[in-house]
Amino acid sequence: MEWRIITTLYREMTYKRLKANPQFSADWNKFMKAFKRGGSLKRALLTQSALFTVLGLILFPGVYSVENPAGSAVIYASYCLVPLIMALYRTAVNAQYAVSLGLFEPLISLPIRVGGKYLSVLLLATELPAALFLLAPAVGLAMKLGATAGILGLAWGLVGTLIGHTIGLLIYDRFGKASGGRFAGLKTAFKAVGIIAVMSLFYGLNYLQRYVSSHYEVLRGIFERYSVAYPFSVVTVEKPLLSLALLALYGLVVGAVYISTVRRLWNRISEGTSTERQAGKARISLHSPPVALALKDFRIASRNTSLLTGLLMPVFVIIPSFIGALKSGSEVGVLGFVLAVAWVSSIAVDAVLKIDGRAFEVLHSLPLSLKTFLRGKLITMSTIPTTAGLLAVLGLSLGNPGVLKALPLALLLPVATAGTTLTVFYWGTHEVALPETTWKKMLLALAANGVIAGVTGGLWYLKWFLSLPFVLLVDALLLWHFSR
Amino acid sequence: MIEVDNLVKRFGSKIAVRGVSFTVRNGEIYGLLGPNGSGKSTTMRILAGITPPSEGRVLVEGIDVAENPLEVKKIVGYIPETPALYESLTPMEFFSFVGSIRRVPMEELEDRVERLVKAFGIEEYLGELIGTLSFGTQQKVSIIASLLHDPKVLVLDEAINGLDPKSARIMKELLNDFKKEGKSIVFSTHILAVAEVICGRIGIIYNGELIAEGTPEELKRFAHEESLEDVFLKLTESQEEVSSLIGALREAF
Repeated sequence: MEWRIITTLYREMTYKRLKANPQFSADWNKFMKAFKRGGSLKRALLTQSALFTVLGLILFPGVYSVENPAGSAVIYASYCLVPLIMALYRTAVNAQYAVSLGLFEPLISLPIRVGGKYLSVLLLATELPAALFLLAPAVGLAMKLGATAGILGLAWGLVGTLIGHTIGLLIYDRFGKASGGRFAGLKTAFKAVGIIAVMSLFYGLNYLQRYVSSHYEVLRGIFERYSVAYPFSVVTVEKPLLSLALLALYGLVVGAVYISTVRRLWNRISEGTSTERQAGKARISLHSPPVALALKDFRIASRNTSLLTGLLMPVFVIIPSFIGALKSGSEVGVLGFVLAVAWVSSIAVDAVLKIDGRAFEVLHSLPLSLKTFLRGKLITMSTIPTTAGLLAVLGLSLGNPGVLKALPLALLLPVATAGTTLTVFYWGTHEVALPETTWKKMLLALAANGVIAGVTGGLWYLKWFLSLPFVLLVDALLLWHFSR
Repeated sequence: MIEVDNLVKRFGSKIAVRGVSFTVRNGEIYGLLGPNGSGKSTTMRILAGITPPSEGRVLVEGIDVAENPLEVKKIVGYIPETPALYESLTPMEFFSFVGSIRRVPMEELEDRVERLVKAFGIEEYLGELIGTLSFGTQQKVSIIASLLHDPKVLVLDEAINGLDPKSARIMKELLNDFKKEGKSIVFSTHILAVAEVICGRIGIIYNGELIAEGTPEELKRFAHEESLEDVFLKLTESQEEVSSLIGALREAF
């Protein structure tokens, strides 16, 4: 019965998520196909488990290839941070999403005492497969330190997931109210930083792997000294009895906090979100239609984690390029970064177009032409890559003022690439609508932007100042296209 | 003034509106009544310039909706059956957005927002996200947003649904004032008593066809019925069905 409720909630969550996505809700057949595929919790668990197990294979050599077996435990312990962070972040974000969908409304009227467990199990069910990320490293640990150590290592990974999940629930319980009110800006900034941090996890992990491998002897002392605290406690896998005792202790503490949080959470959900309201201090602000559209987009995205993640995705993709520019500090390094950030700005198009979601109906009722709409989307799409490029160039110019030559390109190139992407996606469309976002269009946009970035880079190579007129020309052509 | 002439709307092989014709004069509230799925909302969306007609002609203040929907949208205030809003914006952010797109001058916008927000009693919700508000409050936000540009024509698709009695009364008074100012108003509702009181003329739409039109009194005489509700049930062939369903329910309880 309990499992039935969880699978029903999962089905409902998938249904509402797809309904809110105009790319699916606009096409009934596509919607039903995606719903049939995504609505089964069992299927989702199997797929995610397989995915994380395969991903974990990347970490296997890190644990297995250490010469000193004791080093394996230190390296494995450092990996145990991953399920904790993932569970924490996903719980904090998804709890708010699941509650905002009204999934639990039908349960409130039923005679259920602690319904918060359904929210928790629903989220946990989708988070536990992430712990399988540690399966392959745990096998490596077992091969180095014995089967008991491997099993204990896996158990610590699960405990890490539970700790992250419980802290996530606590965060949602304490700060989870959706609001446009006080501290909203601060929360948005925190969320954006959090998203970039989580997205950078794999780069961080890569670095961590290399760092721990070369410093494990020093780290081992620290880990042993603080072995009560997670993830340092994971090194106790070498001493099974101590490890089991610590696991039991963690189980008791985390379990108690978990139960009380879940109870409080259900009370909050059952009581509704009625809060003391104050007459708004909000003010009317008027802007030109394209700017109003872009401001609206940023406001919506800042309150929706998946959209914010989509908008920030180009920043994530160019992290290696940024590290390269940072290391070299040269003009060519910075140019490479500016070209990369502009080129990959196309991938944010999916998020930019999804922002309006079901509210396309609002736009349809307003006197808004396609050209004005596209000018607004151009601002939305180019703002983040432009800001990223600008900050990077200005920051790196502190070390080498010569890189300031790339500043005009950092400002203008994302406009060219974002405009090209929108032109590709809206080619042949004459009204404000959501275009079909196919892989073909995405590849075409990436290819077109690759040409623009390539020509810009080539001209820079000939004489750096030659690239500017070319980018200006592309920008001018696109702005003319969006204005006529 | 709204002139609808032989309007047809097809969605693939399905015909939603079949040759509907009517006129709404300046300073008139025209009630468009019909059961769910009768083609009423489709007709209203066409009048608002949102959905293009398949055949026929619709002129709003002399502007053809098929030829120039953007110009029509500039002078129409449309309130949909289900509030169409950005749920992650606050009402004030939403009004700012709509005002910006409609290019309403700042002073006018501030003045209208202040008056309408006070009239509908939503001052305390201005800083809350729209998605967290009740259906009734969302409906009020939708109504206010549709009036920000002082539209010449109003298309109200069940706009009173979900409003509390005080706001419903304010809305009715507001519509009467707009009527006196000479605005053309098309109004649909399932609350027939409201339609009887505020609409000068009523058109009953059924299966995509306009099956009757006239003042409430004319319609009662035409159908030989005492109330508009009975007229509606008789003309939409629902009277016998309603009686048998009520009988079945009485047996069940």
